[in-house]
Amino acid sequence: MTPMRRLVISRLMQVPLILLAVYTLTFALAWLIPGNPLERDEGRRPPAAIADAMAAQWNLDDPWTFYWSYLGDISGVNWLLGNSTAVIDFGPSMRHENWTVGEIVSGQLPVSMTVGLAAILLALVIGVTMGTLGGLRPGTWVDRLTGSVSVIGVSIPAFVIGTAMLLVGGVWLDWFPIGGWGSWSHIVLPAVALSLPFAAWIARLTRQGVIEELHADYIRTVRAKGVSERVVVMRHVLPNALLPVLSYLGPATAGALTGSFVIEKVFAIPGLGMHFVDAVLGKDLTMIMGIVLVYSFLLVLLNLTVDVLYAWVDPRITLRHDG
Amino acid sequence: MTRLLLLPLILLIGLLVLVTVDQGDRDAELVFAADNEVFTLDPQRMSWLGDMRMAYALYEGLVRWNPDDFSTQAAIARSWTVSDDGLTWTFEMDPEAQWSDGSPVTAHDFVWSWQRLLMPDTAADYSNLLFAIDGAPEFLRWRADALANFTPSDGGAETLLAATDRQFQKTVGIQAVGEHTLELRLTHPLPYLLDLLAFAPLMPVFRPAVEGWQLSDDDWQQVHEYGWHAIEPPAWKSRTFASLSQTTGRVQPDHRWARPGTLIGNGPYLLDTWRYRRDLRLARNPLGRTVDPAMPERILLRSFPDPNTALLAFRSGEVDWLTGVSADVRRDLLDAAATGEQDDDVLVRSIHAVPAFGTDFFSFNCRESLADGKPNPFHDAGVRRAFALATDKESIVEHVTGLHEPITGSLTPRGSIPGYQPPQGLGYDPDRAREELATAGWHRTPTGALVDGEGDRFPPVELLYTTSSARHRRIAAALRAQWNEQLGVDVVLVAKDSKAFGSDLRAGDFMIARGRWYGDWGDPTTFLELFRTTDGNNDRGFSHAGIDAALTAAAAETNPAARMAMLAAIERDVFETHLPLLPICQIVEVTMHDPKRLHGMTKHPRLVQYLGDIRLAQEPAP
Repeated sequence: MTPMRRLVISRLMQVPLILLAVYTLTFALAWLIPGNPLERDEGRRPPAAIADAMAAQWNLDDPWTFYWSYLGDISGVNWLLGNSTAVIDFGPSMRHENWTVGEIVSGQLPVSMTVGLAAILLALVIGVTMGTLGGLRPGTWVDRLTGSVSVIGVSIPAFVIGTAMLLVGGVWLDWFPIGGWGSWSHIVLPAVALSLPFAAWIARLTRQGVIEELHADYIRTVRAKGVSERVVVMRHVLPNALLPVLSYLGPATAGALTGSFVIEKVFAIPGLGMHFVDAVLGKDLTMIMGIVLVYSFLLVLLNLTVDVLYAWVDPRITLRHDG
Repeated sequence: MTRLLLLPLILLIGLLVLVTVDQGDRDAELVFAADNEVFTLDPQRMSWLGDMRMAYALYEGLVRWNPDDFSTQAAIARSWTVSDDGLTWTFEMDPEAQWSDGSPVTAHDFVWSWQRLLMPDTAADYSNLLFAIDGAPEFLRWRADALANFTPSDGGAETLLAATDRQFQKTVGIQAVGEHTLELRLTHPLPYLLDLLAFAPLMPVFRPAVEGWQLSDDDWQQVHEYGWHAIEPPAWKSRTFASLSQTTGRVQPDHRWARPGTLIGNGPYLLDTWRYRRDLRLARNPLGRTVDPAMPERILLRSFPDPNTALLAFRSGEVDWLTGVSADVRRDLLDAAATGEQDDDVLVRSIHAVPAFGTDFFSFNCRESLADGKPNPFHDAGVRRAFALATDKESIVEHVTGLHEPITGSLTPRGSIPGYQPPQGLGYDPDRAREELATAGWHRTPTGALVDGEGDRFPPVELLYTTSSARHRRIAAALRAQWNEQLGVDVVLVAKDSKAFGSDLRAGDFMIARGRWYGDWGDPTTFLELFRTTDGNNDRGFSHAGIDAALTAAAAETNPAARMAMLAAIERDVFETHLPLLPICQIVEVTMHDPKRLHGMTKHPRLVQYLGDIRLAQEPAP
């Protein structure tokens, strides 16, 4: 077996264990959230007999019953035993009972992923361009301009940028719809707003990498051979300068794909990031467990993907598996 | 380098796939926006105002409100009679009324829906709405006890359910005396019964839809012709959305029936599409009784979690009606409306501030000792009165909220219930406040501190509020300043998120806590029952035998005018003497719509907007 294949297999085998640990920890934390998920924050309460019946329906009267029966539902054990028709069943959302967690996650995750992907792509284009321009001519006005743009990108909060973009792009210019989801035009503003901090960070990493590589000995050799500056930058400098960007891309993509609470709220995008915050505030146990487990699974997969890509782009890096 | 380019390419392809998979919006004549997603479309499970708004579009009850004065008028029930003792009500229903699948709406639909409301299996928030009906509370307890004592055995759940149905028929005063005649028997006269019957949780549901019956074509034909009660219900395994648990004996609902395709209603609108947290679309119900061509053909509900975005969407014309403008942005809006400084006068004329059927207040913990066992100074009504008298509400609504809400000394909002005059309560009188404290044994030292006879200081007052809105924090800070200045007490602000707040409130773990109460039905008891010792919403731990007895006496009074007078006397006693809570102001709701474009919008404090009443102006407004 190649080392790469061995690494992938051993990492995949760890996934169930990681997920079980995540399940247990999340369950413990979610259970400790004060209050009752089935109770309204304000307003008239049901009679005691009704409140007890609700709690019993959801196994809320006993943490152990909930822990084990829910684990059975979502691990496929109940399906194997023939107690359930669905293989993985996260059950209905406690607060939005007309929907199952599975439906909500599978409906909303693509939304978060679309915005996230668009944002990461934009961030790559903007960040690498700005970083390369600045890195090739450090200290000049180009560098200072791209530098200040990236400082702005990191430091202005998303809700300010987002609202400003809606006001300009949606109300004044009337080019884009105000919030909502369903077409290309809905993606543009949130993707731009979400991409800014990522673009700024990528620009810094690229600039740093380009400056370092330009001073490397092999670049001097390449130049001495009379290779044109364009080829020097594209063929020799950038591939090496971009390695830090590649390793940043793993967590960044995971972060962007799983949705941003603020962006989703401001642009009224039905993505998962917002639901997750709502689920925690409302102590919607089934939603919390479902979202956390799906996120964890994605995160593990993305990290593995980036590791593999890294080795593939830079053959000097060997993947070892010490298991 | 080519390898590096591959990565963005993969991302781009992924993006393209995602975008093509996701379908776009379809439009609607009327678009309205709310800040929250609908929680459920099952009327018996509802407890939120936004959900109930949908219920009034999807279902039609026996009676409905007149949106101008909230008197009740005929709906499915064409007429009704009351027996002389006021205990037996007989409703004659419209025989033409149909469910959206063409089946007739019968008295059996109401009987089944209301039994469902009373079953602990349904776990309905509002099951106690029917407690004035003879045998209803006993039935709920009977079933709850039977379930608690249930021992799994073969066929045991079926046997218990059959016994439950018999128990209901035998003991509960809800009866179909004809196909279209419904009879209700009460334990005591209830002057506001009709008002209750107009309320969303009492809307009928269609049993074959709720339980997901799978029937043969012949059986469906019977159902469409005569109603579901004409046939034997199918076996449990042939019900998609309900099952009978053999381990607990409970009917286990699957709430997914209340979605497009399977939800069957009898209201003016049908559920057309519903995508979670995106949009919910209603389409005119061709079989609705009250449907007319002037109604918008389709209505779209969009949810905007961020109030600023909702406002921008309104300004850009994407949304026709904002059902509620968040407290955090409405002050600027109202100022703009008052000064007319917005050049855009559509915006100015679109802002509507309506006093609602609810009150903002602060609860005193009335228990003898606090949760940590220390003596509670607010157990003394004199201390509670002193804090109320030291509160300058006028300055709060003018300078702190800036909304100029009507200030109030009582819980029932003024002018919201015909024939009822709530008391004035205690006004702002700092001198009397200090006298009250002195009588209660608290004196101010020359340094300004408040001490009792033994020289012990008044404990720091913990003021609990929720972090959900900046409004609560500002009001709490104003109270701290006022009480510190007028009474010399130290006030500590304690902010918690709403779940933690709610659990502290229930546990009595607070000294003073913010509160808000909306009335459910059009009678003062919707507010005053809070002061009954045994009430499930008595967070204050307030208990007074005289008030309890007076509430019971008022419930038994048959003369409506005398009953209202008794309730007014109770509220006066509560708010001039006992002060279990300190009312601040009537809640003001701010909504937005262009009155030149939308007609039929209610401005009554009850704020129930029937979607079926809305009409669009023929010509678009300039």
